[in-house]
Amino acid sequence: MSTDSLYSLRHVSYGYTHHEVLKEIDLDIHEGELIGIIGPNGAGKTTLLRVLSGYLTPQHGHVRFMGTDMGEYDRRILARYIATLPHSLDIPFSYTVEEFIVMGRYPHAGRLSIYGDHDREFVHDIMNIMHMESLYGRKIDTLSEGEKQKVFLAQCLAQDPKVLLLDEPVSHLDIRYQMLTLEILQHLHSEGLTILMVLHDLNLASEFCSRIILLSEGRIHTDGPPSTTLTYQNIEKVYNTVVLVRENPFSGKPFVIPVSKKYLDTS
Amino acid sequence: MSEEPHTRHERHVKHSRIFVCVLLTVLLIIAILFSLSYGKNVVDVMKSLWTDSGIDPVVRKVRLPRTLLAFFVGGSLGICGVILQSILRNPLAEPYTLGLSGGATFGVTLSALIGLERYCSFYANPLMGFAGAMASVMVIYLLARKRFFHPNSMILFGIVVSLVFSAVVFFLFSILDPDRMQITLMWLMGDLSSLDINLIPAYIPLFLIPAIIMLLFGKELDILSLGSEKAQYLGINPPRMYKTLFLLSSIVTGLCVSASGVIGFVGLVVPHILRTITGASHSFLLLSSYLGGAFFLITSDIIARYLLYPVELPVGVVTAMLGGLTFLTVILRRP
Repeated sequence: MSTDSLYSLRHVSYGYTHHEVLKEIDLDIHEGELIGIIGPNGAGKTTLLRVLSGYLTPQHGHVRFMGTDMGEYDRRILARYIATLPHSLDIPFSYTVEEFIVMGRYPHAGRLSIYGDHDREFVHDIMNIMHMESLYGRKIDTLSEGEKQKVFLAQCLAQDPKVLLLDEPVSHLDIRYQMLTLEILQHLHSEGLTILMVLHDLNLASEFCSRIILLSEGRIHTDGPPSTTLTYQNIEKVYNTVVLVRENPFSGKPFVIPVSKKYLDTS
Repeated sequence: MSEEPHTRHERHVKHSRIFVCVLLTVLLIIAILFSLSYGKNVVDVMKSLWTDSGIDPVVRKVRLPRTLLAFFVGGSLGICGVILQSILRNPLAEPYTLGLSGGATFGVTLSALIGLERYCSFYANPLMGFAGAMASVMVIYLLARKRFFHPNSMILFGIVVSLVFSAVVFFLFSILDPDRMQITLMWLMGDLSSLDINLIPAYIPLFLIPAIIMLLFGKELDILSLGSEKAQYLGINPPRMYKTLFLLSSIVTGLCVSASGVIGFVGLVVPHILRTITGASHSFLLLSSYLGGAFFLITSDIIARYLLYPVELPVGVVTAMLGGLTFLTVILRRP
């Protein structure tokens, strides 16, 4: 067993007595990887992400993070290493963008004090890096979905984490913001951040991730680079859908084209 | 020298917050002076306060305790409203959302029914009010623990507890002697004059200590309002934090109810209005809601005494009318 892996999962199962969501997962994740988790609805993608974030504790098997059992971490300490963005985040009060992002400094801040100048500087730096100058002073409920997603991401970065876990970070964005968000993530990855994200769009996963984990009914079906995971055999089997896989002419990565049933009868 | 946009914006926020704090403090001082002097020359009363030769006994024995009580109850209700709105993630929550008033009313009605004041005189209502409030807190606590203090289930439990208690209270009213019922009803509507002044010194530290502790939870309240999953990702243990804040705010609300009956609207309106003025960030909202709540209740109490002079209205009626109208204006003015 490699000791330098960031995460190591052994025989991890999670679920209820009648319904196991994750079954016997073995997984090693190394520092600096950019991993996409794909799979049909109900395959256990979100559950796997929640196990990795420490939100869910598996009934069987163990999860080790940086060589220590996940359960032994204090949540505050864990939040200095792992930042997680859930699929949906609903905010009942209209915080300003800065008020919202600075909450990411919580695990680093003193328990009784308010956020200091250092925390505010940190937030400004992140906002500048992410080109969010136009959002200063804006209320969060006045932002578009794409801008909101950027702000949510900025809050995660304010935690100054080692690992970023994202649950469908681009699924409700238009194509411009999808590319924008994923390019930001790619940039962060190039600076050394380890990123795991659940993605629905197979082609975006193919373009941006160096490693893809294909989940099917709670098990890892295939785990590897896009060229080995995104084959038409794998996809047709797991998704039960007919597809055509071609090569993206720009990147050389696999490109998945769904094929509608009406064209199948004639061929 | 050109200025970066964030510096400019931050200074603006800082200034508006200082302005609101100063404004609230000034308003509060004016309200306190009016409350103390009511019907007399303000200057005379002020003079009598500073010369130790003779504070007017009416001021010292009646108005000062009453004003102090209004200050602490108003402030506490304001701050408890902020806390409940954040942990229940609902801007319409208030200190009584979790059914505390139901339990307290039950306690006081029961005390009237068995004639408890024959045995423990002026302690009867505060004691039974607090005991009743704590009884409903205990029920909610035990139920909520099973659901890991999940906000929606807590709101539902609160509604159920309120309904059950009010059904029992209605039944008790039906068998209660009319005179006693009248007194209990007055208390129910919120009454700052019924607490015996000998009890007030004991109440002050009870109000003050939890309020100071609660003021320190601003950062946590910000994060808890994002929901328990995200709160955990940011390094909080949500069930433990919910438990702490729920118990603190419940005890303080219970104290308020035991001292002055059920005074509605303060905990709902004050945080709501201040949030639209100075923003949603809780560290500042807690402080401003304390000052704002105190100001609102003292002012309401002055109106309650003046409006139908010499008849005194229950202060809860005034807060509800004043609060309701202000609330409506604020909501309607929003685009």
